Amino acid sequence: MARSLFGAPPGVLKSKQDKPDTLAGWPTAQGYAAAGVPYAVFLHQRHYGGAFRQILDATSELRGNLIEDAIEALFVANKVPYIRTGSHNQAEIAARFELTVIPAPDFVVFDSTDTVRAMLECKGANDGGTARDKALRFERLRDESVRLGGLPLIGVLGGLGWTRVNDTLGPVVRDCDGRVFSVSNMVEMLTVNPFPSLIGTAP
Amino acid sequence: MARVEDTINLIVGATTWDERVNRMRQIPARHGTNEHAGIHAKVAKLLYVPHLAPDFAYIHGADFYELPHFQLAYNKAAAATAEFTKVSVADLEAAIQAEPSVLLALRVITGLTKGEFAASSVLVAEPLGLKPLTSNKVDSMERRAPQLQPPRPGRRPRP
Repeated sequence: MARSLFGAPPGVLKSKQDKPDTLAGWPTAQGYAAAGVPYAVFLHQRHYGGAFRQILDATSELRGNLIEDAIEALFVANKVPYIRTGSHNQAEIAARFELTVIPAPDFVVFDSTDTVRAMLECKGANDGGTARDKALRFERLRDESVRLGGLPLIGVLGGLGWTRVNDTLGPVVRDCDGRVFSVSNMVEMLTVNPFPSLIGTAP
Repeated sequence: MARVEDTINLIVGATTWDERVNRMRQIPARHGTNEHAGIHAKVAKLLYVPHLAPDFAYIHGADFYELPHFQLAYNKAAAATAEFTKVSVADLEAAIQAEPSVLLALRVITGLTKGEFAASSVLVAEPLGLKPLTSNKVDSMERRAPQLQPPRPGRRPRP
């Protein structure tokens, strides 16, 4: 608060103390505490510091689970045998199904002979850059699919980041041979092979 | 060699998902690799983009980030420092010792993240021969639920 810890900012940089409530150290903080913060200052801080950034980062895993939760509910409702993968069962997936890609796809679907019949990956992305990075994951899974003799790879996508088609959605559609769904039409997934033969086979 | 438009129309015209998959798999046989990316992009735009929906309108709740938790920490910090007028090292030390969660309000005033605040403590602690804070320690102090304190008489209630 006294600007003594880090010293003066070099060149064109600004100190993090250069914000409304700490501009003059504790006296400005005291002023805001006593008189309140004008709405314009409050909104400027939101504009400057980001809207919901901290909470979004803190809950990113929960947000990522939204698509997976919807898929799991679909499989449960239709008695499709599946394993939802995680850090706890990577070794089991490799040993049981010879799926060696790490990390394993989000879901592995199997039949009554314990043979893997499809793998499914869920990915949400709200900006094109993130989607492009995540699209590379499907390329790796595609390699694994080919290695296992053409095992169907299914993508379930969410978020507007995937609307960038040239280097994001297009390659995913390619890697999945068109088996790409979103939460809004995921029920249609059950009409694609191998699902029709798997519906109702889970206990 | 098939025309790009014909292949796209063929895929778009598939009546079942399996038919679509089969037609997608014919692309390498019908076209040179230089045309593949364009076909995939066009098919993606026509058949898949319409199903994508924004998911940025909602957020999960997290008690630590909600107003009540912060408000309690703020109230405690304001009370312990007489509305931030008693802010000597001894005052702040006593305030934090008495109620570690006030660190949340004090740290946010500095505008530093937990990690940055912990790293800053290294700069101060080392010359004094003290143990610096870790990011986890900052987190545990701030997440500790502050004791609810009734508003003080004569003060306007905080929203």
